[in-house]
Amino acid sequence: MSNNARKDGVVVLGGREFNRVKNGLDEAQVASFIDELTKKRDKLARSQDHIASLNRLADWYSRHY
Amino acid sequence: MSNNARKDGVVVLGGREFNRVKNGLDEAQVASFIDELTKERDKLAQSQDHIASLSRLAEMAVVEADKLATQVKTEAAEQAKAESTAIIDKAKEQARQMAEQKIAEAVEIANEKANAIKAKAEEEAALLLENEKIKIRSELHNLVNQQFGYMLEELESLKKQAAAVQADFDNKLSEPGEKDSTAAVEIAEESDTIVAKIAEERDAAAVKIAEEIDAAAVKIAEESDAVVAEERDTIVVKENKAPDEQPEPSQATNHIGKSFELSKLFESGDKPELGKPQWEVEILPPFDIAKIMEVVSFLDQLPEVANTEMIVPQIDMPSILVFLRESMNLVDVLQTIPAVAHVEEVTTDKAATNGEPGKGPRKVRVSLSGNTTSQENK
Repeated sequence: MSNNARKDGVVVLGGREFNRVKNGLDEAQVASFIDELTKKRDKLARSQDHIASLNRLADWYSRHY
Repeated sequence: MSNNARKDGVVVLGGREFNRVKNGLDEAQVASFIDELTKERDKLAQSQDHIASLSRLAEMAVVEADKLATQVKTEAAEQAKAESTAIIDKAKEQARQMAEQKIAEAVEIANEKANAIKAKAEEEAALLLENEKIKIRSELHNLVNQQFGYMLEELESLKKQAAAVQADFDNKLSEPGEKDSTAAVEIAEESDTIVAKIAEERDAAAVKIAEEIDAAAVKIAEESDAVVAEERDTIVVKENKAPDEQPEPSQATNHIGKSFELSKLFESGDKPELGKPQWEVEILPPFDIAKIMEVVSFLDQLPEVANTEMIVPQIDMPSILVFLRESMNLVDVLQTIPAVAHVEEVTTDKAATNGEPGKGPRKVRVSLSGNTTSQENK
């Protein structure tokens, strides 16, 4: 989230564009929270991928043995 | 995300507080994105929980499978053990039946062989009995002839003496003349009567001896039949019995008694005077009449031997007295006889005379060869 692109009046956080408005939310706090959420999501997604790989290996093992 | 708490200057989104600032980010956009991210995170977290549950279930299944495998393994081992026990019992039963069958076959074969051996032994015993009968009869005939010879010689000698006495009387009576003629005739008649009486007694004695010897031969043959038959049965039944067994004392005594009776036959009749014997052959038990007769016959055939005489006392062992025409070493001769197993010269104070008058004969002890229990009672 640190490499957010900046345009005039537009902020990109986590690949999503956010408009700047008068009396809006603190950009730093939002960026930190979004970064935290995406990290957790990515970690769970990797775990899912790992389990999917193990299932495929188990299927292959059961077919061959 | 829609229930975000709102305070003055502070916005709560997804459980996190955000400050409002001048020229900040659009709250609606941020709220939408945070809501999207939290949904994805919660969905993945639920899936992770489900997978963890499946893992625990799998672990429990593995444990149960292990238990089941152990149980199956135990049951299989018990079943295998029971089956192996049954197989072993069946094999033992088959082996026992085979062994019984083999034993029965072996017993049958052994019985057949035993019957064959028994038949052969009976044939051999019958042949042996017949041979012994022939041998004893031949020896008895020889003995009868020998006794007849002795008696005839003695009677001829007596007859010659009587004739010489008669001739002497005739000469003496013819010298005085006619007056003694009557007495001479009487003496001559008396002399003729004596000669006739001697001849008559000779014939009667010869007939009597012949009858006694024939009766003894018949008796010996009958006893030998019974003994050989009994021994044949004993041999067949007791094949493992030691062949060189000594006879019982009662048997030996019986044998001595029978031998003593036979010795009376041997000693009956008068023999010519032969002087004193040069050798005395003592026979050690067990006794065998056939072998003793073989020894006697062998010695009688020797040119150096003038005569033999059988001595059978009641208690002591029997012996053969040997009368020599010329000196000889009887020990060496006895060792060549097949019926003699062992020869031993007995050295005593009276020994080593070899015919010298006034001293006793040399003594030799012999033991007979082989075991002839069947003939000892003859």
